[in-house]
Amino acid sequence: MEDFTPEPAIPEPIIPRQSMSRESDVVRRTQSITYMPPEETPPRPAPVADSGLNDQIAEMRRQLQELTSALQHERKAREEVLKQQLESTVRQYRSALEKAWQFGAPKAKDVDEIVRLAQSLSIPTDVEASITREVKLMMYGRAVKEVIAKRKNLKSSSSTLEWLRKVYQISLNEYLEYESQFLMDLVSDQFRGTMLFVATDEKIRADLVHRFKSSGFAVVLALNPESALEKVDKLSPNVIICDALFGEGSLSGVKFLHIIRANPKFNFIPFLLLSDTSDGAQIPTTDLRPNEAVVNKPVDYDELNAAMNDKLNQLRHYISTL
Amino acid sequence: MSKTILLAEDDEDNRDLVEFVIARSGLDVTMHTAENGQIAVELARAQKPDLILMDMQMPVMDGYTAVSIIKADPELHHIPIIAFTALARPEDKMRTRDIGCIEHYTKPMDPEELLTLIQKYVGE
Repeated sequence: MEDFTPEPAIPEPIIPRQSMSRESDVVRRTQSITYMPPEETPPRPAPVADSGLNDQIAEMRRQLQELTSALQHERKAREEVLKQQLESTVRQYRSALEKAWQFGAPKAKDVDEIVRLAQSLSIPTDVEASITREVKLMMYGRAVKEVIAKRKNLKSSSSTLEWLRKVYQISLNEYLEYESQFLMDLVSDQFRGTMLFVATDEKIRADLVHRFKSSGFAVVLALNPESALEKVDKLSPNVIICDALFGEGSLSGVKFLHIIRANPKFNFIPFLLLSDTSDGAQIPTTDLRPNEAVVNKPVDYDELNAAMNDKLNQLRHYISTL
Repeated sequence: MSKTILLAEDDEDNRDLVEFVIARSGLDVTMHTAENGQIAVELARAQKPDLILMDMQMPVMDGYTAVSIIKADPELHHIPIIAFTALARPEDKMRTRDIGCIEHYTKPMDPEELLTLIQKYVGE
């Protein structure tokens, strides 16, 4: 049996501490870690009705709400900024397109510029196509209006419009799709009749008269009912719009209405009385005839226009049944 | 290179319409307008246009007189002039040819007809 003689232990090399690598240091330290069972965590204290703690929780809740609200505000602000940036980009692109399409389909070099602009503005292709189509139809519509306005100088309106469709590269589908809109636009620019507008108030006159003129009415102004009575006889207007009160010694709008009513030559004309509760010259709505309406001040153009169209349509319908 | 057209026409709507059509023609053209023959002669001397469209009946100086003056001017006589007029009888056409107009276009106008005629003289 062989004697077992243990080999002499190899002494560990002595490494100067400063030359030890960080890694070996870590290994050495790790080797020295011994397992220790985790200490038992002390049980959580039962909640107590502590007013200080409740205040802290309430404060934390308040802070959380504030943070949430601040985040929401920030998100909204970011969305608003993005929206404005997009609007500004689209506006810029649209304006360039309007310039390019002003006199018809743009030339090749202008098309290249537009494409480059769309790319530099990062406009998505579908948005680009949609804006182009919209602008093209708008510019064509404007050109059509100009041609129609000068049709007496043309050999043929239809051949000119056909030429314009080529100039603006309007396909038959586009033409058919937008025809009714073009026609509506054209009709809206046509003469709609004569309006007698009786008012002294500069504020009412300035805005409303301008807008009614733009919508196709020939507007005749009268500063008071006395002057209006003279003009009614000469003009036979299609519609009368009258303020309720005038200066001292002048007839009121309601009196003027009664005079018009008493005259069979004019008592069918749509009559719109502008009134407010402080006028003191009221007329109960139950006393109004079918061709009459009261529109309250401050006057909203759309409301007045709608009331007037309603009365004009009623008259048109009545006439068609005669 | 951009060409120049001089339009002599007293009717504002007609002037606007010709400008409208030429602006949409795709031609590289600059327009000058005159409302009577006298202004047309002055502009022709100043601008030396490549083509003149001349109305024949205008106030102050009519188109016949203006064409005669331009055709008598050695610096301008080479400029082609198109009579642009409502007068459509054969004798009217004969008269405009006699004074030196190269074409006779009868109003009211048709955009494509007019552009075809203009392109003959200023087309690239």
